[in-house]
Amino acid sequence: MRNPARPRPSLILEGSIDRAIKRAQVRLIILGCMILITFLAVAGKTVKLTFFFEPEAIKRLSYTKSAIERAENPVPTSEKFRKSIYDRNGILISSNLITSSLYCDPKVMIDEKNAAHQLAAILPELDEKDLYKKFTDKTKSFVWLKRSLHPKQKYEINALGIPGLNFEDEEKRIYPHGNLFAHVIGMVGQDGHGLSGLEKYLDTVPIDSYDKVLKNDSIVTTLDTRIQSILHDEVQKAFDKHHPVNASGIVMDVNTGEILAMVSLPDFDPNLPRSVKPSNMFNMATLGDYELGSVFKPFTFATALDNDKINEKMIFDASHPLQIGKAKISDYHAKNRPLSVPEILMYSSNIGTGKIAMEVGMDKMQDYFHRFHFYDKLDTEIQEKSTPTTPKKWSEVGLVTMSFGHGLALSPLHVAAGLSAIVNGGYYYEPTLIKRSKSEQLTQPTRVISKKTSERMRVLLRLVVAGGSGTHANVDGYLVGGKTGTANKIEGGKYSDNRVVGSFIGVFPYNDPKYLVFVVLDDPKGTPDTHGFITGAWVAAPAVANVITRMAPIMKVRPQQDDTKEILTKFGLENASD
Amino acid sequence: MKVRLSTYIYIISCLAMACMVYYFENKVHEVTEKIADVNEKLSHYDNDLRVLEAEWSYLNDPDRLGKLTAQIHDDMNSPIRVQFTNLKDLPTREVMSASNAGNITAQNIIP
Repeated sequence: MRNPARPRPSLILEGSIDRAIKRAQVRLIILGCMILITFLAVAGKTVKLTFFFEPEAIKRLSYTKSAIERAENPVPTSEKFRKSIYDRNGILISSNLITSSLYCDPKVMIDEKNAAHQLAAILPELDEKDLYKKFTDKTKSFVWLKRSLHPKQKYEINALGIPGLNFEDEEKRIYPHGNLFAHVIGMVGQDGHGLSGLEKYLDTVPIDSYDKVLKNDSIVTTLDTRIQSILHDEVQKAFDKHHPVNASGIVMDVNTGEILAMVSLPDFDPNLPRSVKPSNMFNMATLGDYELGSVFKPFTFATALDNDKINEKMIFDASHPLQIGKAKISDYHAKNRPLSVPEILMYSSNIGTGKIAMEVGMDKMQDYFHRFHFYDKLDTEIQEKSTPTTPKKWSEVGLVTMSFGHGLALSPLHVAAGLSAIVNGGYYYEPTLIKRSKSEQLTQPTRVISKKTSERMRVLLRLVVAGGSGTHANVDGYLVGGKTGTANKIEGGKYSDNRVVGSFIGVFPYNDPKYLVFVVLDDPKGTPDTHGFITGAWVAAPAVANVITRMAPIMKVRPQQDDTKEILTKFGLENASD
Repeated sequence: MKVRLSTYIYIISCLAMACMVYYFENKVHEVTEKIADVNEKLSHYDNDLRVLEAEWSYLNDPDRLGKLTAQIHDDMNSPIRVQFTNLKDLPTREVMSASNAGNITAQNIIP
């Protein structure tokens, strides 16, 4: 029987037309099958999602796009350029933690008065009236209320359920050691940008060379938390005892230029950037330009020895003040007699040192000043750095006064780097705060003086501590060499009689120097303990001795037999007394 | 209607390829989501670790430890020269027992 639903063809085609229609029918069937399969797949998935509930699958589908984005960008941008900072032993100095900050959208707030009252109860530091004012300002849709909430505060605010109060996760820079590394590491502002110290320097590092300062995705510094703590403690004690305007300390590895510790007082807590006094942010160790006085004499001696202008047996007459034109140069510890070269340094004779500088001459002195980088701003990875104040035109008086540290102003770090070169065999290393391999150093070391001059200078520096002006820095077993410094401060264009910058720079052990310790006090006051003296020998040398006593065992410096008597006898100075 | 063998092969290939594309696309999505989940977990762990590290650093602050130590041992001082020596310079047990051990002090074993 014929199917009534199917119409009878009115025209029967034959040949090629018939075949073409058949092919088209086949293709239509195939296309229909494919569409059917597709619909079946979609229907199957829908049935599966509807009847076989999979919360994880729904969850995944809902954030697929963000998941892809997160997979492609796993690290937030802010963290990428603000890495954790560690000391040389892997102790954390600075890191970012995720904290929540509270903001409000006044446009969606309902009961503003009640909201302000409830919020002020949880955050008492916020003023209720001020909050109400913010909540009722309907022209804004985003107002910060409180940054970096405590997790407990966040929980309590969340529990209030007030519409319009929202949280934003932010990274907060934290410093677990408080003010210990205040000046050297610095701090960052609310916006995450470095405000001072190493933090500020890291913002200036070009992105393409940022990897060079990273180790295991972190910044590893040359600092040592233990030594930093010791230095901070001892400089703080000197600060509390002598009440200077500022005080600073530096501990440096003389053989690499690595800074192990750096302190400047008064300091601040970088965890509380808003409470920091601007004056406390002054880093005396790197930004302060000071006429540092006699700690500069070793540079004059090294220049003279390196040019064979003096030797240890030569004697200079220091019986009378040195008169150059109208200027009269005299000694603080006047011996009023001819002094040998070692004695000139031991007793810190300005007259003798001035005469040595005159032997050397201006050209050589200037040449060596350049070698010691006394004309340059240092490359050290810290932003607060001084440019030395040096004379534009040299005169004979200027040459003599500069030979004992007056007439040119340098930062303590300049002097520390220079003296390291004098004692380490003659190589100048740029002071650095970031741990680097030899090939990645800031600048390659340059020879400043000969190895022989360096060896002779070490002995002279040891004599200063063994029997000269630096005996307060002598530490049994660690053979300290060094130099005291006391420079009168300039007040109203004249040198003050009673205000000084007192300092002591020490290296140990002098026969194989490893570390340098430098303490400077700006305008210290005398105490009964120091018999009223405010010289570097009395105010800074004891602090250096204490630092060496405490740090030497930690740094595994092996104690040696004391050689005070032997070395003084060798130079015929067994009866030496300052 | 006669369908050629090549047409069957073509249809099966198309279907197989479509299935493969569908399968791989789903697989890629799944893996991407897993990576995102793992990264998210890593980020949480990383944050937790950083908190722990910061706490550890704070608890080991030399100043804090110094104050705690001073509460228990207020007579502690830095070691001095005579308290150091080489292992090879220490007297042997035989020497110790032969001599009066009580007379051997750090001072007289320093080379």
